[in-house]
Amino acid sequence: MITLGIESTAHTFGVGICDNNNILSNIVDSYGGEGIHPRLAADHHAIVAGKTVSSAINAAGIDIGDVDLVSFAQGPGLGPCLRVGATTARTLSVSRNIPIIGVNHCIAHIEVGRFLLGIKDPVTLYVSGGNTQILAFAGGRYRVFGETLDIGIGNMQDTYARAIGINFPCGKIIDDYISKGTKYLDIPYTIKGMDFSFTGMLTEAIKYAKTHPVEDVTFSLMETAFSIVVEATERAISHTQKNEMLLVGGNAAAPRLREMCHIMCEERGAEVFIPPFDVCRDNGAMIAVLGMIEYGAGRRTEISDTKVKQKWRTDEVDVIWR
Amino acid sequence: MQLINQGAEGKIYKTDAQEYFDLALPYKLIVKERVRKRYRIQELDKKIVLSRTLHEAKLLHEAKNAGVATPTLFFIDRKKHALVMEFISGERIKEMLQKHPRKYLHILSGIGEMVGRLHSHGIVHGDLTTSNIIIRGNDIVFIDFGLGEFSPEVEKQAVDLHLFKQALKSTHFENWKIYWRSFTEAYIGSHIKADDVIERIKDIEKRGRYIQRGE
Ligand SMILES: Nc1ncnc2c1ncn2[C@@H]1O[C@H](COP(=O)(O)OP(=O)(O)OP(=O)(O)O)[C@@H](O)[C@H]1O
Repeated sequence: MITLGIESTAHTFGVGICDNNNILSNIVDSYGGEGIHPRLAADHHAIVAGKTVSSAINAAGIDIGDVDLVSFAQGPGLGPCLRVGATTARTLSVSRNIPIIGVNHCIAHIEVGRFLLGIKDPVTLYVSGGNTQILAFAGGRYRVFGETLDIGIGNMQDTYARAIGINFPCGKIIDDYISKGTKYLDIPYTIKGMDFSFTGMLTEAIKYAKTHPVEDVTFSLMETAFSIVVEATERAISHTQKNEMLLVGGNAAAPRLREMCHIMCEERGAEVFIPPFDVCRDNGAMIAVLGMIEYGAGRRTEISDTKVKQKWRTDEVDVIWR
Repeated sequence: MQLINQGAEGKIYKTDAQEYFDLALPYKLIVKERVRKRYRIQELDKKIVLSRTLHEAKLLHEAKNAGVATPTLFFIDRKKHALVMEFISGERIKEMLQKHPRKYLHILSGIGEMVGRLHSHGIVHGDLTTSNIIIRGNDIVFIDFGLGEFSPEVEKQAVDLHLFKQALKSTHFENWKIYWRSFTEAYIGSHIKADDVIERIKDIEKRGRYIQRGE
């Protein structure tokens, strides 16, 4: 079976294609502006949608007529962006007369990791601009064990970068500063159970940046933020007594965060898995993979049920395929 | 000393007064030793480990003043970042609920009342889960105050309850709704600001996802 997946929950529009065993192609086109302006990002998605679908089909070396199923990210995410993906999927489904399936974006991040890396039952740390969550499977659903109480870690990093005058995208420069910083400045470390918050440290870091070397401030800020999410993940691993960890999301690229996850898991005798970056970030292939898995397990979505779900929680989805 | 639990933060040993203090007293003891985390840089790790140890010590004591049962603290070992406290002989509410899901609603009410007392006294537990509450006879004993703080703020107390709700949802997913109801009903009866706190939880639940800029 060949599945085409469409991702459009935030600033990335992505189309990916998979068959039962492999990802055949995975094309992304991201809205390049700073931060997320839902309407502008949606306009971008609408412009690139057709072109991205064609590129994904070409890159997979298939014909549009070969696609058996179209899957799309139905939520959670920004309404205007989600609607572009949903519309694209509906159009394909109706015009090609193939079934459509709407899937949960956060769960897709996990399932693509399981599909590619052969992980059985991980605790997942999902770090991106809009989401920062710790998820694990229990009682037939992906439960939220911990999450941010205010903003996502990626959002925090972007806001900080903007405040100190780094242009978008900031990831590489931030990583560079982290590796060059030497002096740890006192930054609020806010963790509550397995939940955490980032605005306090953001405010403090922006203040420090006026009087201290930017390398030291960035290092202190990100060292603190990463330590917090790794600590919360360790708690979830300890509470659920699982022995695998999966790191996903756009911010999973950060070398220092990866290193911390490796050390933490090594100390616990657990194993850490990090998918390649093109399936770790927001992308269409993960949506294709989850659509294929759910369809295979018997789930069906009627075209009348394809309305987007901006606040769709992972623990609302019955995991019928595990 | 016998290692009985290796939690996320540290090691829990069971011992007795004879072995630990060389005193012929009939006390069973718990030694909670926070371990260094190698993934954190040393300065940060030292700061966290020491401050949590001292914090926990202070709050274990303060909670008693609020009329909430906690293990009695005997000794603080600053070098090893360890607390030596009374061993609570009983069962965690987590396991009790897992074994008999419908039998202990009255205990959830009891927990609600006790958390109300803590909050009335400006104590935020910081890690309310069903693993951190031990039932000993008729006593509901709270442990693990390392993430707690003193705060009368509605926001912080609401986060405290939000954590408990989330812990119920993720660990006791089949019955969490009735547990939460029993808990909150009793909480409302023992804390004057309870209504504001519970109202605030709704705001907290709305946050954390897709905070937007621009529009
Ligand atoms: N005073 C005590 N009496 C009896 N048992 C105790 C006591 N203190 C701790 N325990 C046991 O050890 C476990 C872990 O203790 P605690 O929660 O204080 O440590 P922790 O490292 O913070 O653990 P976690 O990461 O699981 O929260 C408790 O769930 C309980 O079973």
